[in-house]
Amino acid sequence: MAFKGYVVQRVLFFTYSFIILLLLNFLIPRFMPGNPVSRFVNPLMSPQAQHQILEQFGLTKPIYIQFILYVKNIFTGNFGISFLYYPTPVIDLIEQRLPWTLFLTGTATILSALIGIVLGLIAAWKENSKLDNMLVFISMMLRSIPTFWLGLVLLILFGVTLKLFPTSGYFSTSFIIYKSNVIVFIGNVLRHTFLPLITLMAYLIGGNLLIMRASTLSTLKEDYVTMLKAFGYNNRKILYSHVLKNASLPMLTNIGIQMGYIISGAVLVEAVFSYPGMGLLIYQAVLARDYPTLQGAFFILTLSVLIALLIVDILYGILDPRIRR
Amino acid sequence: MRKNRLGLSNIAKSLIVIIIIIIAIIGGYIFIKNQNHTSPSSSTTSLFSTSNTTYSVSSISSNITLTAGFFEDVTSLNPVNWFTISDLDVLQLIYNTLVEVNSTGLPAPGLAQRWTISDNGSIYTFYLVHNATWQDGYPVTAQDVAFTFEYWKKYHFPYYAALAALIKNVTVINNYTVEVQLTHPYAGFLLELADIGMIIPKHIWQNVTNPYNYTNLIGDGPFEFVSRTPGVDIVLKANPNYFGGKPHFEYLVIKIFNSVDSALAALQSGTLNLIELPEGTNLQPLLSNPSIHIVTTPSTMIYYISMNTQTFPFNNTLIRQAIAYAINKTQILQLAFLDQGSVANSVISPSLQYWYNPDVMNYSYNTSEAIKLLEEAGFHLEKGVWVNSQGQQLSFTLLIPNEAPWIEIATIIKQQLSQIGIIVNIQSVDPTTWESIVIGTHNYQMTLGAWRLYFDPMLFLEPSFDSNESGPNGLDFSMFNNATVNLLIQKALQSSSLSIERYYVYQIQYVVSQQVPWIMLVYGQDIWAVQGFTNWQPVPRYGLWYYTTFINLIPSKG
Amino acid sequence: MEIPKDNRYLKIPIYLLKSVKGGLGFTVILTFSILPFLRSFIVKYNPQTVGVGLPNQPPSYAHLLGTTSLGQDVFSQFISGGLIPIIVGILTGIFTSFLVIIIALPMGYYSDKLSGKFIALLTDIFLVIPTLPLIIILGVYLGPSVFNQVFVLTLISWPFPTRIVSSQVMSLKERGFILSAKACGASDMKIMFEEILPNVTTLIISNTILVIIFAILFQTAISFLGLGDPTQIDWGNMLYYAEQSGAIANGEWWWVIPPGIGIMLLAFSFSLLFLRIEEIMRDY
Repeated sequence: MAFKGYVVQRVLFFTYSFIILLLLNFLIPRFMPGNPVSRFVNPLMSPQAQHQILEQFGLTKPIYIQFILYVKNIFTGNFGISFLYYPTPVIDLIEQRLPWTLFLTGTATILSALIGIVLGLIAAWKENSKLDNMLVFISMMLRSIPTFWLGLVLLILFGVTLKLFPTSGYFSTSFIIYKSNVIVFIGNVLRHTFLPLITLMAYLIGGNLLIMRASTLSTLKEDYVTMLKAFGYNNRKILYSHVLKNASLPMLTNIGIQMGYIISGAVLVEAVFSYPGMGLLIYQAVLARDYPTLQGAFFILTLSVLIALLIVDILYGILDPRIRR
Repeated sequence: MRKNRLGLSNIAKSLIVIIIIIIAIIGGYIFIKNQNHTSPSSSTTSLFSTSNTTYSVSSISSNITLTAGFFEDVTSLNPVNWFTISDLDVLQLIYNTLVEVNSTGLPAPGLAQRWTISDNGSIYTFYLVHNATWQDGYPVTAQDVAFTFEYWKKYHFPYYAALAALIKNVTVINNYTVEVQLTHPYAGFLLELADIGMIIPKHIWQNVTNPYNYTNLIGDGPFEFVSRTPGVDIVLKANPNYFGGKPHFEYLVIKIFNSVDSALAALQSGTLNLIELPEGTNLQPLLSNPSIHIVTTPSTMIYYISMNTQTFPFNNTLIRQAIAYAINKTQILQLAFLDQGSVANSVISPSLQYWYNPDVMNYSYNTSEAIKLLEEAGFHLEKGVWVNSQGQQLSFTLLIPNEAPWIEIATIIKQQLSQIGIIVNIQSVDPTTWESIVIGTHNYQMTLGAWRLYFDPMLFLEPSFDSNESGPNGLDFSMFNNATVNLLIQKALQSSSLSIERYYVYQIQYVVSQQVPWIMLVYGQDIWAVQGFTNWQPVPRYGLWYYTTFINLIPSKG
Repeated sequence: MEIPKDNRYLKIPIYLLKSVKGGLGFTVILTFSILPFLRSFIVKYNPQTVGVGLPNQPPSYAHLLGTTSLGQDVFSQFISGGLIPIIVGILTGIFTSFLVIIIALPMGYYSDKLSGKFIALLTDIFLVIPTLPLIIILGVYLGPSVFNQVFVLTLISWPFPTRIVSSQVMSLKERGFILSAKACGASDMKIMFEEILPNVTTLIISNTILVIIFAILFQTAISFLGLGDPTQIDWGNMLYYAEQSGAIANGEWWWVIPPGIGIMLLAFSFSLLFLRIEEIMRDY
């Protein structure tokens, strides 16, 4: 029964956060100096013209009216029209970009989690062996490399010098013009996403491995493991059926948070590889003061992070009963 | 003992699995959705009129694509409600104007094969070509021209206020002849039309309720619109029935690049055919690549320092002139521009040969002259720093947007001025913030700027130096207020012939150089990288991005 | 089982430096901190001065790491470029750990009361606020000085470790020795700072180092995007200028590789420290 109360409490929490963030999402873009028309500077652009465009953008209405419209529209799923790509509806932009980012960062997160968990487990089991030392060294190296720099180096090495991989985008433009079959398309997409994927995964694997290793090490010290060994259980069985589950707990929190940041997490990588995803969209929208796009993107962002936090908290509650009280 | 815990761990594990499945579903969704998408763009209409089937396409080399590059994406692809220069660059390939420019920057036939101007300079009669057609088959007629001009007057499109105010009324004489009466004579009218006066089809736009959001892009130009993916690319297709000649390739793909680096990488890897590179790009590696050609075309880019003439220390002309002498423009040209350009003197670029006045005041690098002027302005050196009688120090903030080449130029300026004891603080902000300060509130002391000039110099001179434009959001951001210049500008705007306009433009250039609200630094170069195509023909200001180039480009063999 | 508090924390630095890992890490960090001040003895060129050599030149005797597009000496910039990341990183770590202590202790201790829940709500909100616009807004209003960079980075870094520490506090407060302290009539403050705090110190210290590493990498990323102070000399800015002038596509490795390696070495050294501290905590 205490658990049910705990879940209810977490959901309430989620709701309060969400409401406050809804307000912040509206205000934060508007706190930035300048307005969306600032970037259209041109000798032909008179102040009257600037005002006219602001009118088209709906920014000449009083701010409380803008807010009311914003909230009303959120509930109908209408995020407005982008100022950066006028008059494309924001929902279309998000619909176009979001799957690609999810694909990139989602795959990176999951693969890195799996690799990190398995390797971290092995490293901890064989603590202080050559393998362990090598894995730790490599992980630390990977975690120290600045992501964007790694991306740049890979880009030049493999994209320009060796010409093995394409240097931008998520698939070749020729697919728009000349339809082709599915297999070729998927192959093309994989070629385009390979380098960004590797770049993202490097940092994540390093971190996951180290955390998993640390938590496995402390799990291994627990009494019940010694007991299992004393009972003569097979090492591998101990490792995978018992230790894995318990050592994964801190990893869970980590992965949960990573999932939450899936959408925005790849700004640097997207910028370096010109990979048109949500991260790049947000970055450009910030620079261009594209309020509707920012509102829409932040909405999805905050929603996903909050959901991830909610799930992580609930999981924590399941796994550590002491928290629930 | 721990069974309970192990059991619950299963729940945790299954929750993870559920999350993984959700991601996998989303991944599958993407694949399926994008397989069915031919043009993954949003509400912009993709047009493929069925009526084109009657025309033959055999003269176009099919399957040849020219990939061009932009550094700024398009914002609003609407022939009347466009917002940025990138928009205009794309729209001009889809729509024609009545008048074009020739290689010297003077009016040349476009949709109008010839025209006459009345003696008092207020009435223009245009005689249209007879074989121009819209991409859905309808002919281009005088009714379209009249409709367009009236449309500009009917709505408040951001860039057409000046033209709308200039045009008094339009009369259709016959299907191919149209007469326009201006509110007052203005010799620059034709050049303005050449710059932005795109004609739109009456039969499509006459029933439109909201022209600001209308996204139909059926035009009469050498290219047809295919699709647009925001932030990624714009795809155009050659118009086989273009009255000015057919392009020798089928598709024009414009890719958006986020950095010079990625563009250079694309050039090196052979996936980019045509792009304009900013000055200061290191061209050495490109020059050593045999398949890449670097073409320099006459540019109307001007780079300058702007000082706020109403704020200390620049409210004193002597100080401004002193700084002008203290800047070593040659060094800036060498280091920040890699010698890709020339040292500037007048505000008008020499590429506008007709308008450029070479006899303006020249501020060649001369530190002793600078020091002399500073002392004349009442400053003296105290422990290596300039101070005046009221104890004010000669130091100021140089506000710049955080992009190349401004940071490089600012760094050089700071070091040059510190050599004679002037302290410069560099403040760097993002471009939008910069614009909101410099253009919006004019709350700065010194900044850097650049313009790409239009063919009609008044389009630039008036907003920049007429004191009526010095209020908030006005383009006279140096807050220049000079009665002589104000008068000269008014006279120029009322001139009934180009030569009269030129007389005044020459004088404006001279007075501005004397008063030096701007220190002119460099005239830029337009640098184009071309690969895989030959037979380009450059035009001033537009360089290789002009419809004539695209019609003449031929894919190179091998 | 009661966990006694002792003053083992004072012995940490000694154990740290004695080991290979800790010693190595510390040495590297120290080197990059001191080198910038010794720059004039090593290289005669000021890192900022333009035109000391021809632009975009590969390494030569005169310029060990070649020149930038403005003709500045790369080696000089490399030597001087590590100081700002280190300072920003360490200061961020220090301020963040202050915040973590002040916020996470009450947040965990009062987790079932309204005040604790309110703090938790605040933490979650800060966790979720989008960082990029925050950086731009604060950058414009505050200006790009080092202190402001620390301020912004602290604002971004504090929620995550706070959450971790507070959940540790939450599970600690149900333990026997806390309940007995309560039974003895100890005040909340006393319990929080004298009983609980010593037991989360490990966690705080290791998280602080993680924050430092994060801050170094993030500060470099901000400079790389051009959102920092482009007039200061740091490795992130070097990469920013390199990218702006197309040095990367042009293969000017002498300009692009050293800053990245420098950042890597710095972060790696802090990681070594982190590992060593973890070892110490576990074994002693």
